[in-house]
Parts: sequence; structure tokens; C-alpha cells
Amino acid sequence: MYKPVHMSFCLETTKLTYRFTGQETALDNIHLQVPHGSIYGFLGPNGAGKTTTLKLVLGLLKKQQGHITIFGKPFEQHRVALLRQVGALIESPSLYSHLSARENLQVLQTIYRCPTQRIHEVLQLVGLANTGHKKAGQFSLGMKQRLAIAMTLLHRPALLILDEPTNGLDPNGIIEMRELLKAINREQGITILISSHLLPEIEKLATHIGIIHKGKLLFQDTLETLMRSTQQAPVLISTNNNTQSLQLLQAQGVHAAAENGHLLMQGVSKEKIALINRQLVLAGIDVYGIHAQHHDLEATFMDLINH
Amino acid sequence: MQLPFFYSFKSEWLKTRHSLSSWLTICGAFFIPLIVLFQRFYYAADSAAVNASSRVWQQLYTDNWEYMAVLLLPMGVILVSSLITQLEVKNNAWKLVHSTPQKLHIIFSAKLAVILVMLLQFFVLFNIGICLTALIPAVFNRHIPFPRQAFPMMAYLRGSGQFFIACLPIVALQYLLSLQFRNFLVPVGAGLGLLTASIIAVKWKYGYIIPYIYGTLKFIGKQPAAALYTLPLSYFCGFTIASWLLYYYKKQKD
Repeated sequence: MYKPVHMSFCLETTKLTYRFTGQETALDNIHLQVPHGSIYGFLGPNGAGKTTTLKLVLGLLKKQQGHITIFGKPFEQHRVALLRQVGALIESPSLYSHLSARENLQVLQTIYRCPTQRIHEVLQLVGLANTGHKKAGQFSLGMKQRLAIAMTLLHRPALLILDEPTNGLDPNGIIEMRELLKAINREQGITILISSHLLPEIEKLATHIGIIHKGKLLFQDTLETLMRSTQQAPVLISTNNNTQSLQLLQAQGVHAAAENGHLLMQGVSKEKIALINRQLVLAGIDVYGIHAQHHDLEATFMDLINH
Repeated sequence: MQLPFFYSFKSEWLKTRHSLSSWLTICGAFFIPLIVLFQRFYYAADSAAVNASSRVWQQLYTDNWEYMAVLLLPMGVILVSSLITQLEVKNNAWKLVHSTPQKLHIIFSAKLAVILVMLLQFFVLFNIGICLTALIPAVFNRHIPFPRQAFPMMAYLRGSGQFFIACLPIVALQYLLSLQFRNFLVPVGAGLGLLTASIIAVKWKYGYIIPYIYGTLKFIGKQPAAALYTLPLSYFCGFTIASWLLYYYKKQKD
């Protein structure tokens, strides 16, 4: 009998593995750990396995191997009770295009049995309170996305699972969505698991990061730890003699390469940079500048999936 | 168990609001009575004789069911049964339905119940339509009397009930197909194919084994006793169980 469950995790998967018929492994031993109260950014390129993971977590795909627990309870045995506390938006919004925003929410309100007043509250929250009888099929993509978010929030879930919620939104829509998610996380304490391939968005939103690539979870921790734990930022050196400098660096065992008229060094500490500078000067080379490249999430992400 | 089903049914019923399936049910129910009504106005002298006769209700029942039983009713059932699940496919909403806190058997049975209730709704409206074909000409044409014969409620109920049972195998098989195939053309194509086969096979000695034939057999009144209740109900149960198993064990529910 499986007994995992770290109670500090709102959602946890253990050894989650999935294969589509006749295809290679889509997910390989995924240990996803989403802490309570966090905004967990689930990052990965297209086809990395993000949506497959989220569909398994929600029971939309039949689990083959591994365990899923939500709020400390195994998903399979407590599916209905757990789904009552989860709001989910997977891929494109699921809306009944022949119904108005209010009617779409009524469909769910009937199932969740939440107060009718809640429909107005969530419509106001996402700025759709004045759409009247307009059918959801006539909404813009941004409005559809906001209505879908309203549908996930209707029953006051404790965990929100959003798969690429900013897909197709214009820059203004993306900012609105980000602010909305931050607000509901901060004010209502809702844990948010959000998948995306938009790195800058996740960087601005998430407290925790999971990076998946080719079905494998490459990294998982806080955003801060991710930025710290990856190798030191690459350092650029500009000199008057790059060829001689490169020979000197390589003789020191430093990983360096010439790039756009500079030398790019990888994995060097602050002390080592000072030493290299002294040696270059002693060798009669003029050093015009030494500076660390800004190491953002995108660079970190590329480092992780390329190595 | 009963309450979740009630709420699930209510939610499913809300989805049919302004939908093609609900319009099809309403328009389909009044389509033939409307044609019969025009006919009765046009041949007012004949209509007056029919309304004055002691068989007015039988006559109108036959006139209306003649067009409905063989082709239009089964076609309507095929379309409505497929359109109900198509609401989820078209709106990309199966994943929404399956991530709500509902047990699978509740989702399955609530959707099936919606189709059956729509079918009942059709029968009620159709029978109202038949009544109106007798009454409206009498209201607007003073040469046509109101029906002399009392309305044979029980006979109409029995007849409609038997047609309803005749439709059940179609409902169940169409539901099964539409749950399995996302492409609307598959269940509709299969349904129309089976319906055509049943019309061709109506004179065949063993035609009664075709699940889509019972409406036609009921109308021409030459069916074996088993084809009235036993066979259609057995098909309905068999198809529904198969449909549930296929739905339950489906690997991908999105």
C-alpha cells in the first residue's frame, strides 16, 4: 500500500509515468511537489509533457504508473471530494458557445451547489459582469479566457490548475491575467499550478518552478533557488588580444570561447575572475572590461534543457 | 446518489437551452401537425366530415403518425441523441465535465436521461400538435365542427408509449456511438445507414431483429409480439450496458 504524502504539499505526484499507445514515454518518473499557498510555474517547451501531467492529475487520462495525491489524499480513491476543491482550465477554454457567460456559470453552479450570488461575484472579478445575454461564442479570446477563469473560481477552490492560461491573449490581457492570479493567490490563499512556455510570465508570477523537458522533471524548487543553484553567470571579457587571452585562459583550465569579439567564460567564481584579470595584465594584455551576463530565467531554462 | 443525479441532470438540461437539439425537438414535434393542419384548411369539406365522424381522433392519429413513424421520428432521435454529446465535443468541454466533482455513472446517466426526457417532450408536443390539427380548423372555419368524439386519452398514451419504446434502441446505440466518436458524422452516418437498412428490411421475415425497425413495425402493425416490448427493451438495456462499459474504460476523457 502506498503511503507517501508530505502534508505541506498541496499536490504531489510520485513516479508518475505515462506512455501513449505506440509512442515513446511521454512522462518519466515525475515527482511534482506543489507547496500550499504557492504559485507553481510548470515550465517546459511544447510537447514536454506539461499538459499530459495536468490531465493525469485531474483524471482526464487514465493513470498507468505512479501516485497522485492532492491535499494529502490519493486522487483515485477520493476523486469526487478532491475535485470539489480544485478549479481547472486545461488548454483552450471549455465554454458552451450557445450560452451566455451567466448561463455557463449556472451550469457549474448547479453541480457545485454554490450560492447564486457567487455567479455575479466571479463575473465582476474577471470584468464580465456587463456582458448580458451575449453568447460566449461571440466573445473575444480574452473574454473567453476570463470567463474560463471565472468558471474555475466559482466554487472557491483551494487549488487552481491552469494550463497555458495566457495563450492567445494580447499583452494587456496577459498583464491583467497575471495581476488577477497574484491577487487571488495573495488574498484568498489559493494555490496555483500554472503551466506555460512563456518564461518571462512565469518569472514575474511564480514563487516555485518545475521545469520539464522530454517527459523528465529537470528542476523543482523556488525560483530563487533555481537562479542560485544553476551554474554561475557567464562572464564576458573584452581585451586587446583575444587570441592570446584565450590561450592563457585555456591553460588555466577555464572553459572559454571567443564570441562576437569578446571572450565568454563559463563557471568561474569571483575569486577566479580576479586571478584571471591579474594574469592577463601581467601577460601584457589590456583588459577593457569584465562583466557578468544577466542570468534570467530564460538563460537558466535553456541551460537546463540543453545540458 | 439521487441528489447528485438530480443536480447533474439539471446542469445537463441547462446546456440544452438555445441548443440545436432543443430546437429540433420542438420544431420536429410540430412539423407534421403543421403540414396536416394546412392540408385540413385546404380540404375544408373533408375536414368537416372527419371532425363530424366518430373516428376523428383515430383518423388524425394515423394521418400524423404515417409520416412521423417511419422516417422523421427515427431521424430526429438519431440527430438529437448525437447532438447532446456533440455539445461537449464542439465546445471542447468534455474535460470540463470530467474535472467537475461528479461520479462517472452520474455523468453518463444524466446525459442519457436528458435525451430520454427530450424524447418524452417530443411526444407530448407532438400529441398536442395532433389535438390542435382537430381544434384549430374548427376555431377558424365555421363550416368545420369541433370533434364529436371524445378525446381517447388512453389510446393515445398507449400508442405514444409503444412508439417511445420503439425508439429506445436507437437512443441507446446512438448514445454509445456519439460517446465513442468525436466526429459527428460517424454516429449520424451509422444511424442513417441502419435506418435505411431497416426500411429496406421491413418485408423481410427476420427484419424485426434490426434495432431501428420497431417504429415502422409498430406503425404498420405487423410485428411479432416480441417486437413490441421485449426486443426493443432488450436492445436498449444491452446497448446501454455496452455504452457504459466503453465509456467507463475509455483511457482519455477529454
